[in-house]
Amino acid sequence: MSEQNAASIVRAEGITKSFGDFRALDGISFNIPPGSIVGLIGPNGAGKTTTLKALLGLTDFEGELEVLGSDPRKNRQELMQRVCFISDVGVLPKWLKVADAVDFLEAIHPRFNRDRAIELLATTDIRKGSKVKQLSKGMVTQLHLALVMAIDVELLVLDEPTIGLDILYRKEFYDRLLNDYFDHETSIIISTHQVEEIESLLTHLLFIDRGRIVLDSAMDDLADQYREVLVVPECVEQANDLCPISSRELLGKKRMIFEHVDVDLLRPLGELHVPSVADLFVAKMQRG
Amino acid sequence: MNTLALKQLPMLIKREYWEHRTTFLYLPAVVTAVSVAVLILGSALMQTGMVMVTINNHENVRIHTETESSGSLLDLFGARLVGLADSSFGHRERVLNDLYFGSSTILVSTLWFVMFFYLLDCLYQDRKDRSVLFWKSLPISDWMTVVSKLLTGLLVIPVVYLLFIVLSNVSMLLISSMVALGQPIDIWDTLWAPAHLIPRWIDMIGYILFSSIWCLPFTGWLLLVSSWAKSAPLAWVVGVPFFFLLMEKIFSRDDSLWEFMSTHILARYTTDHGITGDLYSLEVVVALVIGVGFVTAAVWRRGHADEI
Repeated sequence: MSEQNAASIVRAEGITKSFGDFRALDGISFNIPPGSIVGLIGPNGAGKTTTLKALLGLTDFEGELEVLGSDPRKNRQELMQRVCFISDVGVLPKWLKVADAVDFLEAIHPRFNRDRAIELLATTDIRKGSKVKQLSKGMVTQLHLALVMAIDVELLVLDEPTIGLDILYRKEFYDRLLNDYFDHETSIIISTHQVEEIESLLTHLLFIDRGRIVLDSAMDDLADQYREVLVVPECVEQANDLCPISSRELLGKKRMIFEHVDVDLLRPLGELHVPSVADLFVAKMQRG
Repeated sequence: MNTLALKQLPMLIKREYWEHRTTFLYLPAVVTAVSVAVLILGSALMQTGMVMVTINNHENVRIHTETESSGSLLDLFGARLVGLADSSFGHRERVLNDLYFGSSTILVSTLWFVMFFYLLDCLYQDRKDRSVLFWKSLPISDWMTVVSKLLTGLLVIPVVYLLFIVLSNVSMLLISSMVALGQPIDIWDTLWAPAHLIPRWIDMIGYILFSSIWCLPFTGWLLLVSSWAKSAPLAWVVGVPFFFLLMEKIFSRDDSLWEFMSTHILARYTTDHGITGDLYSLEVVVALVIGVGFVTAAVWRRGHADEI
């Protein structure tokens, strides 16, 4: 990310984490400015969860990391008053009753707003007397989101929050997050490998592959750095000389994505677009 | 301890109750109900036998039961109480202790197993079902988590079981008293006075409090295994001490390790020195130090806990 200001919500510098011989994180560095929605995107096993666990102080690592100005490995209790996370679906304990969960958070979390939680739950089909094990997977996620949305934190971390949910729940989840929660003061980090769904929410992109950051950009800057060209047939050779990061044939047309190539050089080759995050993702991952 | 922690602790203990309602509440309720029923029925049916014992010990006791033994259960029980009323005070104390409060023994044994499995499971199960990721997303310190579980195991569960012991004692005596209403018996003198209920219960409170320190090496060890094991906590909890005992057996003529382990896994009230003598005894200090060491290690492990 381009902003290197001191007010970063997260500042990571050379984070490395190994499990035996396997390097899960290989010296990753990035910054997250306040008020951003960051997509941490990578294929399965790329190091997304390990990165997020490092941010939350749930795992040891080498390197320098500051979350809200302090080392997450120390004073986790204080950090967790300002950071919330939903890791995957289905981590709410099965025996917990919905009403009890609200009571529990009210006593445990100084920034939990009971009325807000009840208001949010009222918009779902979740009954207060139900136990988590009686709810469908989608409803458990709704419950978890409602509880988390009632906590006023500075950073919300979502690790594959919608994995295993059907499209209706997935869509509702992100709509709700954006409409009812995001207020440009809280930052959100979402990890996923389902790029298309969150593309429109994001202000920042972080691509991660095999423990390395392969792309780090604000969404607004994406157009300056990446261009997709629908290359006209007679210019294909010329286009190839400019070293596209991806090239594929679609409906008889060559689509090429270029990185850091002057727009003036690309314009004569064909129609210009900003590549979709999904296409960019595929391009970046293929290059490895 | 800050104010947030003080607000959190009761809720964390409540949380343990929500999760373990069955073994904290329903199990002792069922055990109490069944054992009271069995003991009442037993004391009625064992009537003849009991009276025979009475006769052997106290020659001057009147024999007036044989002819009544063909009556209803209620009659049998009534006659049994009359027999009890006619025996000596010391005998009544023994009968009440052995027969009437047998339910206490059953509840105390149940309690031992409930505590054992609770402590062994409490820092393990949530890692296994991944809910640790939810608990860790909350501003609760690792100390707070472990202490809430330790307090639940060492004080809350025993106190709940004590309440059921009180309930079973009182209901045994109440049922007997109701039966005795139809008999020419001084109920207080026959049943309630020799029962020594209040001293009995105060003893049990002392028992719980003293044991919470006395057994800390054992309960702390359970917590440590619970926080550490990636699988089969039961095997670790038994296996590691077994290994050390085996080493002791092979390489040493001493059996102090065995001595220490075997005495500290069971609750007790006092040793030979009385309660104050015990609290300041070297053995209690050693138990406390070892126990606190294990608990501290469990807190440290909890800090690194992850899904398994």
